[in-house]
Amino acid sequence: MKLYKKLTVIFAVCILSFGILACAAGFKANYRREQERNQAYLLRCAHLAAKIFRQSDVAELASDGDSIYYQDCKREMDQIQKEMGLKYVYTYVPSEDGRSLTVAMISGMTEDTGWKPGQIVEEEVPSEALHVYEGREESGFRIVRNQYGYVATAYCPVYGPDGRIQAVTGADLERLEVVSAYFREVRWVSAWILAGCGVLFFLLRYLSRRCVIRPVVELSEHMGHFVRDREEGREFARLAVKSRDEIGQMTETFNQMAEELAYYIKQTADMAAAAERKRAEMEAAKRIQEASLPDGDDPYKDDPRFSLYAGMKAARQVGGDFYDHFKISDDRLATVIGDVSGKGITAALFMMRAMTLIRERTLEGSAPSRILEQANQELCVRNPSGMFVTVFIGILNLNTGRYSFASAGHNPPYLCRGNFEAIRLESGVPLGLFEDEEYVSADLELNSGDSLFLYTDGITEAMNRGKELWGEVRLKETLNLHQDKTCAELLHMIDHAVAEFAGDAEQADDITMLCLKYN
Amino acid sequence: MTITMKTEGTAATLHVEGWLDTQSSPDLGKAVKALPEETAALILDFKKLEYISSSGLREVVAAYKKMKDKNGTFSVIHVGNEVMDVFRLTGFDKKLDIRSAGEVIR
Repeated sequence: MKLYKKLTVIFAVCILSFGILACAAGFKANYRREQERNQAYLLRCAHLAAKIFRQSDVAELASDGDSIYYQDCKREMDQIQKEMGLKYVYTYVPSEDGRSLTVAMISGMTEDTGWKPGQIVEEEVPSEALHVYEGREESGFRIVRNQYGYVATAYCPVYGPDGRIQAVTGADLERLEVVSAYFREVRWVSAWILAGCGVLFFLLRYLSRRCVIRPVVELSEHMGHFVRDREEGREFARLAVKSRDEIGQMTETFNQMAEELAYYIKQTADMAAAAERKRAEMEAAKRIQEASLPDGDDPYKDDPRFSLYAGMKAARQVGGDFYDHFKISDDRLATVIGDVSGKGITAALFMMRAMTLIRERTLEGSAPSRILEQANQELCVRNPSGMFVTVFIGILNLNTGRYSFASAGHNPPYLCRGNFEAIRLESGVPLGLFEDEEYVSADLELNSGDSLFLYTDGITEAMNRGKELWGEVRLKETLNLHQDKTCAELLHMIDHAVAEFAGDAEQADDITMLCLKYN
Repeated sequence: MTITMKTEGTAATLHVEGWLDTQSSPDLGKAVKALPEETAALILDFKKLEYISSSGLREVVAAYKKMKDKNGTFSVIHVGNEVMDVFRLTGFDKKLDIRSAGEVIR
């Protein structure tokens, strides 16, 4: 149910009950007062009537209803009855036992009662009248509904000239008239009270609507529109704080909340846009990097003296692995593999620099150690971020099988001569760190059928969910298991084994391999 | 990875614990950066280091270079076998003062 309806019902119930209670209380309080006034009035009437008989002997008077004196008295009583608006006024003498009474005089509609002067009526005398007659009470009052109607009666004693009580005078008032007059009066008062309640009800309803419902509805609508407004590009408009009560407080809180929310939404959007931009840049860098590597898919098919296969699988972030192979002359083949420390654009740029430098120096015909030294010197210059790159370079004389190589902190390649074994080599530090570093070249004599496997630590340091490294032991096992395969197959097998080991763990580093088989 | 620093006069020791990989290496860089200006001797204690990646190596070299520029001393001590292999492989063991678990500081 809506709050407005609820409040309306609550107000209605409260005000209505209040009105009814007020009317009832007013009725009750006034009724008693009215009764007392009624009683006093009737008593005065009774006393007035009783005074008629001050000078006379009631019993004697009653015995002769036709006497002039009786008639005088009767006229006086009739006058009282009429003027005072009474139903009956009468005087009677109760019997000793109270079971009958002797009528002395009666005014009013005598034909209704059938009472006549001097008549003995067999009728229980009311106790109030008896008490007065016996002198136990100074006056009596009762309200009764009997054969004479619904009447209020006041009794008072009739004193004789001797000062003794000789009879009782009763004054009857028609109750229905009294009550209906009273109700007429009360009805108007009640009507006023109820009308007042009605006005109060509508006033409360109006005020609740204006001070509570409308602000709350406004606030709630505003809240509801907050998101839509944003989507449609409308600026958030502060709600006016109209009061200092809880609703005003709520409005102010909402304003603050909405502003903060708008701020955070904007910030999040900016951040998302920045992240997206960065991701796109990374993607571009990754593509450029991958494109700068030479074709690794058996590019020297025409040369029967050897076969070569190479590949790089980049990690999610752009990394710094690279491989290179090219012929220096018709019978000399250079193979290079490297890994730049770190990730991101700086690593990728450094890798491109290193790769280009090494290629240039190699094409000049220098020995591997010399190539590394020259490249190192150039990389050490203008290297503010302290990047470095591990490089392995080997130059194969395709006619003699002499493989001349040098390493700058790179993982030693594996040579397969019956079995795959890591080459023993004396390594210098990675390029880019120490300008005066000297590197050492070494030679291998490759026999027909020998294979070389160059790789980066992305393979041996591939991790599974349990943070376990693939390691050199597994690499060697896998190499030996597939040593009869072609270069392409071998690389696929390694790649497959690494992927299987890593499972759903994210690839942390680039994976780069190069396989060279001398025929 | 956790790094705890202890200083004694102008000598500072960083105890590196756990894995020094791509994610955690920048923390080592920050720790080195946060060293007191007057630090003249930096010791990296790798007693509880389990793994070092190439980005970790980079931070070690950066720390070495920083100390060298200040004419300070730099050592790596208590290096376990696996981490030592990495230093050997990259030739850093010849350039930097790196001691295996058994060796003591001179």
